[in-house]
Amino acid sequence: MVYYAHLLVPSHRTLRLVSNDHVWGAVTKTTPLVSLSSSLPPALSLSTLIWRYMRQFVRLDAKEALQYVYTVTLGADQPGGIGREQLELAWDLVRRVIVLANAGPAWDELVGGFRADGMRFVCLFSFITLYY
Amino acid sequence: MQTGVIEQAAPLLKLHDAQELNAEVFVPAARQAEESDRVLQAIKLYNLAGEYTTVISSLATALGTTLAAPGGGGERARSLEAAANEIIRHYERMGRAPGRVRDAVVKLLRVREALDAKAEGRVDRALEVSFYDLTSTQLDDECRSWSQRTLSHSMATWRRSIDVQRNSRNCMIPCSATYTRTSHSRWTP
Repeated sequence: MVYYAHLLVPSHRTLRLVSNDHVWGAVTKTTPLVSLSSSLPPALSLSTLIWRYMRQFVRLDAKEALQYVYTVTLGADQPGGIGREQLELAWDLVRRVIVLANAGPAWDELVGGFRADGMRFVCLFSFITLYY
Repeated sequence: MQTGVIEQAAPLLKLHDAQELNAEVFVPAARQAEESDRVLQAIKLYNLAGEYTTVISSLATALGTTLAAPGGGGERARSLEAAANEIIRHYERMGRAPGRVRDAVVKLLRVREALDAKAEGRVDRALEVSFYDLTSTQLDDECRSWSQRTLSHSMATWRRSIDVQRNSRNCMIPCSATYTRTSHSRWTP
């Protein structure tokens, strides 16, 4: 991510119009890795790249896979609705991780759980807040 | 158990509150898990998202399927029933998702308990569960036919086991006529 400042992610809405493809399923499956168009600047689909890399180990190490998903949200500040698309792609990847990860204690750790009395744990302090 | 990794990382995913996290991640993931036939995971996710009515209706459907499955459904059914017991205990304590569907789930779990007791040979326990938990309250037609079938089967097994015990007791009666049947020479008068 050293070159993050130079990274352009494609707008899927515009790509869809350019490619004239109306039957798009999950975006990360069908989006080309690099978009080269005469009317648009070249762009790299970060979510596709991340997904292709992490799908090899997502079942066995879902926590590790999530670390890669967080990088997709780095494009959230892009203008013109592209930022929102990147967020939606990241959430889609999180959902895939949840559904594909192997069941067991690691899966429970991934999504959280309940105490013995049925009440949820409340996260009062999280180290993540230190990043902001 | 503790707060999940995803919940801890919600700020990184630009999800600012639990409601947004549920709407964007947990509920759609639960739906996808349900479609992928990962029922237990789907139920846990709905539970985390606070969709208690969906949890109960999914549990009722899943338990009905495992009860009808040949051989009791295996290891997967056992883990589902363990989770169902825990969820129902919590919901009853917290007063969540009350109604007929929750009662149906409780009764389905009792049916499973009765079937397990019967399989282990504890027919008295199976009858007890069948009588007190299934027939003491008003049941709808489906549940009633289930309980009656289970009950009649349990009664037949019980009668058979009594007959077997009665026959086997003949060998234990301390009289000379039965001693001659045994193969031990020292018992033969």
